[in-house]
Amino acid sequence: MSKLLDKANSKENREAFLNRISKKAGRPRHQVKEFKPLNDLPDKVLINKSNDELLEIAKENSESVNAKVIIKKKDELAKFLKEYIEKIEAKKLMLPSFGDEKWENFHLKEWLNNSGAEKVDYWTNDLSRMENENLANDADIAIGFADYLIANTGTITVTVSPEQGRGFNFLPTHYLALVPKSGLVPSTRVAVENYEKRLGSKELETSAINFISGPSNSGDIEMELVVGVHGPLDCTYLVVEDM
Amino acid sequence: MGISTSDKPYLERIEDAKSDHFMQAAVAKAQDAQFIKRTKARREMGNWNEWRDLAEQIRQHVLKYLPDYLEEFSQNVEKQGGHVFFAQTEEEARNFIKELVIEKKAKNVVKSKSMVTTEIDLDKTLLDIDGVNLLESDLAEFILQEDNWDEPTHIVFPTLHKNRDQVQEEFKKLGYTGDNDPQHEARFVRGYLRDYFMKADFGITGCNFAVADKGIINLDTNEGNADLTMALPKTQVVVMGMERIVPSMKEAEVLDNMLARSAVGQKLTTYCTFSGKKVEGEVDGPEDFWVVVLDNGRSDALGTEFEPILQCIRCGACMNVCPVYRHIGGKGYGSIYPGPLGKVLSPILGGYEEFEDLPYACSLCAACTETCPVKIPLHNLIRKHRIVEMDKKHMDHSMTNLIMKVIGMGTGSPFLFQSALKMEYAGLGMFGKAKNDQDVDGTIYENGKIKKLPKIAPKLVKGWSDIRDIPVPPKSKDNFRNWYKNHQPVESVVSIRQKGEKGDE
Repeated sequence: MSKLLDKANSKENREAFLNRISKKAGRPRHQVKEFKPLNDLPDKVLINKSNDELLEIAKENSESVNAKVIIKKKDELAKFLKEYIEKIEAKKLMLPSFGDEKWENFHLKEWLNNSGAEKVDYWTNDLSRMENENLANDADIAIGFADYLIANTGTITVTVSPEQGRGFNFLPTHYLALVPKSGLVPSTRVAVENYEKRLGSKELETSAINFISGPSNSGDIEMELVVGVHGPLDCTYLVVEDM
Repeated sequence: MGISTSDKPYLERIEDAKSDHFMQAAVAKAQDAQFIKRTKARREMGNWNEWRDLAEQIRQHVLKYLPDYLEEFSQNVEKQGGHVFFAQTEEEARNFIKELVIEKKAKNVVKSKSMVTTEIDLDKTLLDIDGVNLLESDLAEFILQEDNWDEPTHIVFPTLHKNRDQVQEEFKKLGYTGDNDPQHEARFVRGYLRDYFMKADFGITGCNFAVADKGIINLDTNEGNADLTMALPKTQVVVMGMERIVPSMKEAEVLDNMLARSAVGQKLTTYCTFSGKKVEGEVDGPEDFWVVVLDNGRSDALGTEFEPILQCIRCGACMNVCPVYRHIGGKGYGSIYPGPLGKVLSPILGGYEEFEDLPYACSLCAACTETCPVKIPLHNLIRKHRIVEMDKKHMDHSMTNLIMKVIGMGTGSPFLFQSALKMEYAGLGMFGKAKNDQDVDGTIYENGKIKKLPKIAPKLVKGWSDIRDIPVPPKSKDNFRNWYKNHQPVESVVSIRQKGEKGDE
């Protein structure tokens, strides 16, 4: 049996396919021109709104996708998180393994030692893949960091890193993301442009960028909305006002 | 089986659909609910038609330079250590993935919803491998799988034809003991599938858009199953139709917004993810990243009048507005791609021989064309299929051909035409002159109506009389020509109003 697998990434496989479709289309290859959009609508979304107005819109849109939005100052975060963990009766907490500096920025370094949870685990590449995934699957809540809060869609964005992996964002029962108010952007367009810049300059190296708008849900049974299907059962955006 | 979902002939499928009243009610409810949500979401966006222009431009641009963008994409996947295989046929795609499952010694395959893997009939192929388990993880696809691989009825809502009680019955076989509340049923699946996810070693996803300049894919879901499929297994295979590509993340972002609003009336799907091969240092994600780019007949549309169908972003809005879909549901079409999209795409992918009837399951009302977010002229393409079938392929060998020829001869000859006019009252009248009190004079039924034609009647008229009454034509002496001859034109009264004269108050 000829191994089809050997044909992957082979020039013959690719060229035969592309030449064939080029011929069928009746258009020669290698003529591509840069895409120039015929209008600038994506750039104009909520463009004239002030930061406060954007936050109000973000809140409204987030709530409409069943995400909770909490706005706090840095100094209020530790107290809030502790109370929140107690309120939802979370015993096992999962955190990203970012260094002290990041936690300090959010005034949360002290809180790490007194989080309110009985058990705290970190998503880290010091542990094996399986160990991380099992801990995340077992965790009652993950508290992580998001980059942007998108006003127009009520979305937060998260990038995958060694410290905060994919399973971190999807396996625990509850999910809370800290997002600095400076990360508030009007539209998906602005967030995407920022990511393109950061990826281009190699400031950001990641295998995945997640745009998350509320908790997982489905309307597959009689179109009735069910919240919490595969991912977290709920989703909270904790906006840090003075960052 | 390919894209075909039924061995039954078209008319039999339609009969089945007509008797499925639950399905009809469910489709009507879904269409109405989606109409409200979709319209609201689009209005909120503002300038909807200009957004459509932009989306159309993006899709047409990539189709124009498709080989170049696919080349760029595949090179960028390779640069990151991923693998790309170009499959011309569904067999190639299927066999490639089968080889890969065997090579990787995979035991537990997990899939997230993908129309293109249904198109290549992947699930059954992989389940035939000894020792391989496979589970669909999208809630609806999971329900279909557990119901002995029932076929999907809608591309966005595959289980539209099922109710909560049927779902409860299916889940009982898996140990579910709860009631028929969808929330409880979904929570059961969450636990059931989570256990499977944790041991899954091979993930298969579709692809909403491949991002050419990054070598990554963009997936839109609400449940989060696609993200778990890309997180937990060490190997991921992406199966994509070759046209599902965009130049950069910016164009993907435009289409993601259009897709969510058009498909489910959301501003964005709950999870909109850009993902590629695991980066050094990261803990999870695909260490092995494979992309299968599938043609499977799509290129037959390239460079032809049917090329615009490749603009499709699979939002399903066209089926959500289609009056025919409302009555016959997804299964009536006999293709995994139902509705207006399916009427255009199925004959291209599956051939005219198999899907010759589909272009006729259409009233040409053009609601689909009007709602399409990427401006595919769907009803025009449906009409073009009819032209191909009739004028180029001469596929109609039914009595219709003969009847049309006879009508052509009859209407082309004054003598025959006059004779027909004399005969029609007696000829058609023999099939019934039922006239009731509602049939007042002056309406088309004043001479009575034909309620049903015998079974042997040609389909040209039989199909019509099955659901409508045919008026019995007037007697020859009362027909229009004679009536016209016997009535002199009345001289119209011309009144010219003088300046200053008062008009009718």
